[in-house]
Amino acid sequence: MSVKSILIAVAVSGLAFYTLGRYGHDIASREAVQPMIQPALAQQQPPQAPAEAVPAPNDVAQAKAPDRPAAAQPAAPKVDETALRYFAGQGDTRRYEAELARLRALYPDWKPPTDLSSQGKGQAGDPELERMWRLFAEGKYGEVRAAIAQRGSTDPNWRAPADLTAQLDTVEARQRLVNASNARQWEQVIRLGTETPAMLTCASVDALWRVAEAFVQTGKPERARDAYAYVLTNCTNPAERTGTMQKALATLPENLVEALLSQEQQNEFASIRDEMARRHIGKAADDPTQKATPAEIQRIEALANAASTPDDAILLGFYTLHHDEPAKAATWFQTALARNGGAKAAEGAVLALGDTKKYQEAETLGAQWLEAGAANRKAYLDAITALLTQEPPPRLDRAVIERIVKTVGQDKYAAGAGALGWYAYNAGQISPAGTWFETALSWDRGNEPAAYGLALVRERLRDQAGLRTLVAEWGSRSQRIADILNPRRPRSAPTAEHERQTRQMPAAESAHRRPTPIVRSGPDEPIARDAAPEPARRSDAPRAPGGNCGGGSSGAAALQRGWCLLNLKRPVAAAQAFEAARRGGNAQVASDAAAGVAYAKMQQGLTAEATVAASAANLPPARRKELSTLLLAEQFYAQYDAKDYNGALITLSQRRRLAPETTDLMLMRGWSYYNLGRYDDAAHIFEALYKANKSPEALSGLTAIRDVTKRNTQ
Amino acid sequence: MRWTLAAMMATFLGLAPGVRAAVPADAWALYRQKFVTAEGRVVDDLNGGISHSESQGYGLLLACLADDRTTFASIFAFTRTELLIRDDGLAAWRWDPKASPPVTDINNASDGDLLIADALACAGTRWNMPAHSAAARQIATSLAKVALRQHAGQTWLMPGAVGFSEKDRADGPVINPSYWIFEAFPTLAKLTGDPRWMQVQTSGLKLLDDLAKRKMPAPEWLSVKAEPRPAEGFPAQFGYNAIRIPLYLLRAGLGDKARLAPFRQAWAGGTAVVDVASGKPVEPLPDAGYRILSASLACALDGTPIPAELKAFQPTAYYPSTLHLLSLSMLGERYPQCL
Repeated sequence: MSVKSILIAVAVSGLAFYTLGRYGHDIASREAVQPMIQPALAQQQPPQAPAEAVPAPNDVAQAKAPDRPAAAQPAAPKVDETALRYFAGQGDTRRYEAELARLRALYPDWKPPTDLSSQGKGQAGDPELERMWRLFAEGKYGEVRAAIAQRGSTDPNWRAPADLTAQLDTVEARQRLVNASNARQWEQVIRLGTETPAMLTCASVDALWRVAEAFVQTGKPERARDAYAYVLTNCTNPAERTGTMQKALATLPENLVEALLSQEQQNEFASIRDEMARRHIGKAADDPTQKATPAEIQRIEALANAASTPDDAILLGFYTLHHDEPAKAATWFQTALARNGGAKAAEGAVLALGDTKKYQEAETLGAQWLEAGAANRKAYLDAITALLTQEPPPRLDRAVIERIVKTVGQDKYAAGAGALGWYAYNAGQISPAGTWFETALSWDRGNEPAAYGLALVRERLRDQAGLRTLVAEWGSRSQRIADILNPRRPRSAPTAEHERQTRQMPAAESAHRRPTPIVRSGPDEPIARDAAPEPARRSDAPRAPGGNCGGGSSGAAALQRGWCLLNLKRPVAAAQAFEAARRGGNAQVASDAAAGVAYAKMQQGLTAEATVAASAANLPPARRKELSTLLLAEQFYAQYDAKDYNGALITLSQRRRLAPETTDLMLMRGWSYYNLGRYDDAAHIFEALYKANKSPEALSGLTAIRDVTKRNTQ
Repeated sequence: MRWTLAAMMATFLGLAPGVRAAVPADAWALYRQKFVTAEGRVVDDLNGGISHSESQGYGLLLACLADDRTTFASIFAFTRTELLIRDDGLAAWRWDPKASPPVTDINNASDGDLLIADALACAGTRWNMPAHSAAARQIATSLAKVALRQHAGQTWLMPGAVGFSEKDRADGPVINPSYWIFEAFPTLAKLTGDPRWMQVQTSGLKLLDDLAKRKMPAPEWLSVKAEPRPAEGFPAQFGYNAIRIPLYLLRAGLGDKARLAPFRQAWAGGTAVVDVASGKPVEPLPDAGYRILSASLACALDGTPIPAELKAFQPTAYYPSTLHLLSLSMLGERYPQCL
């Protein structure tokens, strides 16, 4: 016994029946483990008898001569074997064993009687006491109390046997503790445990659990840990040991649980460790910033593989789904589905297929689970939104389109309607696209992507009035919509919102986020969009449906594929094709391919890399000039965006030496002057532009100048 | 002469806590057999067979008054294990054998706690059991902490730990005058040394005297926010709770004639639940256990003899039977000439 334990034992000896706290031990090293529960309890209350304790009735019945064993019991006490003999006589093995353990703990030197059939000394022929024990064994504690009181009132010299009153106290205190615990009276639970530690033994682990819960509920998890540790140190029942760990796992912070796990014997807590691993994986599945350890993953993977139930597979599915392993996730969810994992597995599978870009498969699976719940519908709708906004627009069966339209309509899912809009738009069906964008807006008035789509539709249809209405409504909320009519800030930097929307509808975003410098269909038909008659920098020719740009490994085929991919706005793949063409083709092909690389880099917004690519290539003068012109325009925009207006104007002058200035670049020149405060120069440009083609952009430039000069003169 | 002396002795001794006149043994036996289970539960038979801190408290008090240590032991074992489980050491008020867990309302009821404390004090003195006295003291201390409340210069007994204060109700504090178990206050004051228990007695008597001046029998629930008036949301009736008030006054020797006058008036046409505003009976209370309440008043104040059929106890339902035994013990103690 440690010094601390002794101090604690002394401190609590003021409590009634401290020594009885020992009973119930059923392991050999009792001396070492006795005080384990005391630290948990004794620190709760000062050692004085608790102020609010209601005394045990036997205190009353035995008020004058409490015949209790004391902590410092002198040698060779007389051991009351009545209960032991009674339980033996009744064949009540459970109570007999409990009493045997209690007496052994109480009197370490005591030897159990060998002849249990005979009554002990002084107990023979006491049918009244016999009756009391019988009532006790039947759980009729109130009647035992009555019998003791009755005998005490008729025979003032009679005393109830100490072990009867001690046992009564214990069972009543335990019942009271259970009642207080059921009524969530945690302070009372702790008080009762403190007053009657005799009940907190391996014989009633449930009471220990309840005391532990009371400690948890009153904000003392370490005390709860002590109570659980007591069970693990002293008690041997496997179910109770595991149950203790389950309670600890459910209520204690993990660092305390870890400490308890170290008391494991022979891998008995495997299920607890499984549960902890599941918990970590589940948490990390909900919060992608968290990670489970490889060991935990392996543990649950092994369980999931061995099981025939879907739960662990679903857990791992969501974990991998949210940790950038959608392909793995899809496999887990398919496993779970095969094990009747139901709606949750289907939801996960649809999400995972979507994340692996298998939108059509996601759609096919998701369509079967539309009635399973809101989460399943949401997963389906997200999948079809991505499907429809794919580049290039996928070919879809009529039946598929119809059920998409039906589901989107049933849920009035604005993003889905918008996606149908982009699907139509990207297929060149401008009018139906407009209808879908309008539908999306009618379901969600604040749906900016749909408003943007509608604005593009109206621009394409030359519906200036409709466009202005939209810009008037949205201009203050959406820069890119405002920019359709106002080139003052023609290119906005990518923002978080952009990123989000890009994810939601990649086709719409990547097609329209930045000005597209060129669209080329082949080496012989370079079309500089800059030179297009209208400044439709955001406009876009309908792309050829279908994404197949052909195969072939020859340089010419690769070159052809590069232009095709470039036309489909797949600049990365295009650059790869051009590189292949440059390596594998003749001089002409290689020259064209080098130009292609530059175009591809430009399309990616990599102006510097495009410049490098262009200068490295052995290009014919005409092409070099064309490329330089484009690169200078790109450079201008970059400088303008960086508010380097003087630099931007110099770049424009360089470009003008190679090619005439386009209308929109002239407009930008005007805005550059404007931003430098050179209002006269700006006005000169805007006036010229307005005179030339009644450009509304030029007019708004003039208006802006008037506004700012008026303000300055006031 | 002998009677007068005995009555005087009884009155004198009645002021000393713990010395109480007996409940007749045969009447108690009938009561016990009908309402007290072997496990020590006192059953409110007309109320779905539930028990509550009040029934357990009455059972304990009657057992003490009947000098029945045996039954007291079992009732207290049950009360302690099943009801005295609140964090504050007071009793949960409602216990339903059909529910699991059976405590269906962990709130306390101050009259139940008062009865339990008073009965424990009675047992401690009567049977020389200091532990029972200590338990009574503990409950009294807790109850004082939880339910005694200063308001407008007076000390009030709140009906429970929660639900009746200014914070809880617009017309709070709301009290129940029938929770003033007057016989308990001197006992608890002496046990705890807390003078507030006598201040509570004073406030209760003043309240009843003020109502008497207004010729109003006490309603069940009163708002004492300002001038005492029937509380919102309760029928303004002299009803099942309040009918105990004259009995409690007589038991405590506080049966002042003017104080009791409104109750006599209310029952002039027979015991009944009475509307306090109109004075009209709402529901007759024909049970012997109710009728002995008004018969006791008449005998105590005017010497009107108690009808013979009320002197002999026959158990009916838990509540009137309880009042019947309390009345008989009161008459035996203070007005033996009435029996």
